[in-house]
Amino acid sequence: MTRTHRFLLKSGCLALAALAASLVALPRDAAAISLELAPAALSPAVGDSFAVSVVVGGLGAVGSAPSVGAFELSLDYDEALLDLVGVDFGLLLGDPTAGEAFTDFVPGAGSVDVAEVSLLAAAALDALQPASFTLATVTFKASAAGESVLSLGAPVVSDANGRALGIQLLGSARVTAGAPAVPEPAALVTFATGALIVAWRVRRGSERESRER
Amino acid sequence: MTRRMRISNFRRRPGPCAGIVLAAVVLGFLAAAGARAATLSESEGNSRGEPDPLPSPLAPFLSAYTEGFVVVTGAIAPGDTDFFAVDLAAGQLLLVSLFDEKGGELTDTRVGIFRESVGANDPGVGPLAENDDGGPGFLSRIAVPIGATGTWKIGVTGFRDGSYVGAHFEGSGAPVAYRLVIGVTTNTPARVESDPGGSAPGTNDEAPALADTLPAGGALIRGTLGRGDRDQFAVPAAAGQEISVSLFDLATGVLSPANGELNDSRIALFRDGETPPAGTQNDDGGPGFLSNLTKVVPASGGGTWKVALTGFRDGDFAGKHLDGPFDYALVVATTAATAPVPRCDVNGDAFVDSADVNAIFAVRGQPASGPTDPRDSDGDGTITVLDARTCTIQCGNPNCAPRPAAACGLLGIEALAGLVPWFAWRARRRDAALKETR
Repeated sequence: MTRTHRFLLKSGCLALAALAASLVALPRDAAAISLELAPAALSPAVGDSFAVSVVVGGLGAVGSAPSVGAFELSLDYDEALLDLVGVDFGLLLGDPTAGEAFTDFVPGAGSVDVAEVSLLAAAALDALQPASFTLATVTFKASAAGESVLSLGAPVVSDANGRALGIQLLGSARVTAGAPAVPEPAALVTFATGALIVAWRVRRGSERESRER
Repeated sequence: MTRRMRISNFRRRPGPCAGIVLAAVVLGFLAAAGARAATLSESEGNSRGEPDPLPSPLAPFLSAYTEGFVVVTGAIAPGDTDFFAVDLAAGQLLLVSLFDEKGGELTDTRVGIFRESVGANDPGVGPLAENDDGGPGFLSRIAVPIGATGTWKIGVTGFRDGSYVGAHFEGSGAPVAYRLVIGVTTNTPARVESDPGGSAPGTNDEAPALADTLPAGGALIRGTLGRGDRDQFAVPAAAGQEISVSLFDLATGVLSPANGELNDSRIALFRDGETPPAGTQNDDGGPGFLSNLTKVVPASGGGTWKVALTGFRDGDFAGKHLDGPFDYALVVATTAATAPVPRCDVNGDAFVDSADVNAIFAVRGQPASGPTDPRDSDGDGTITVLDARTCTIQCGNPNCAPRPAAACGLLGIEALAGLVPWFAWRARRRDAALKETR
């Protein structure tokens, strides 16, 4: 075995050892869930309203943990193109109108902070929530033509016991706002032709009348 | 053939690479375990399905806690259950003691030992062993022989909560801080008293000055208390620290608890230079006739403290008793004082409800005002939705409903007020009858 071979073998062993040691010393991570925006692409016309949902996945099925006990996240957008209209919260962390949850959203410059905390017991949340559901639906109005990327920032999602869940972000949403609808050229031609025919007939009718007199 | 020979040789002699990897794995374990203090705090929200691993990540208990014990500080509140996972080996003896500031006078706990997978959360499956009032006051204390190697869970809840789902109201008003001392001993204990069962001159039997010295933080000691025998131990403790002492007796010849049914002990805790009966004593703190005690070291009391063990009749610790001989496991633990931090009760009305949760939720994202900010329930310095959610678990009512207004203190005889007119009518009638008779 040459010196080079020995060096390579030694380096490989050390790398393997470091990997093994780090794996053993790694802390146990909390269960990871996913967050994504749906739909991933939208094409509203300028002036139109549209909604984007924040969907959580990777939870336990109905009746089992983990479930969501609280969350806070920010949704970033291009405020030159989009106006925030409002935020709707679902009922799967409890009904806010029945005192089962607190909800809040705070609009900022180009982002909106969305948060909810459930007052329900852990067992009730487990019984209520499926593996995937919509945490909140954010409604915007396209104010100018252009393309805006909606992305989630600094999300914190708590399980039913107040412990942070690991989060995997599954991409962002793309909004392409177009100009408002205008009459097509073909329709203009048809309209003009019809107008010409009508005008020609009116003129012809008046000429006939004057001749008969 | 040559190839097979090489493989065969490799199997017999792993070579330097395997050695390095093995050493790294061991170092990884030591690094993971060694960095941990012997006093930990529960991560509130720990439950039967998500227990706090001790140590974290989970590793054999005695490889992480070489003195044989760990102290976990926690708090119990209505609806709260706390679970801890420990890796134990068959043949070990698990010793669990619970202490609080009031000696268990106001808080009634239940401790259960479970053998199930770490994520299991079935309230229909009961503990393999449990205890209600084995410790001081209404607190719990239990010793359990471990029959199978693997992960075991220790659950702490209120005494009414037999299913360990949080169905109790212990800690109503404000969470009650506790210290859970978890000890593990084996047939080959790491620390044994210097004069087991004896009363020979020059041993830990003779005088406090000859006490066996324990390391800072304390230790789990195995020993034997014979007739006329005293055993004494010295442990350093700083001002403000709490010293917790728990005694478990063992069945003769086997590593199994005797539960204090036949052996009656007495324990004293006193400063260096003092001699009992000075100091603090305990006779039957539990379990059975065994002793346990806890004490906060006063501001001027930092230094060496002594623990003396004798028979219950020997109030002067002069060795005048006929108890024993019996084997014991004694856990002496010194920890930082656990002054209860009133978490979650933001409006200070001694009750956690939706008003408190809303007050936390409204200021999410802001830094806590200090380590005792009741809004920062996890103590990480920032108020978040995690704090708000954690506090919902400590609510005194379902769905964090406010506490109903206190009812008037009626005596129960108010219903008789309706009979007053009848009594008056009757009296008048009697008077009238008397007049007629005259």
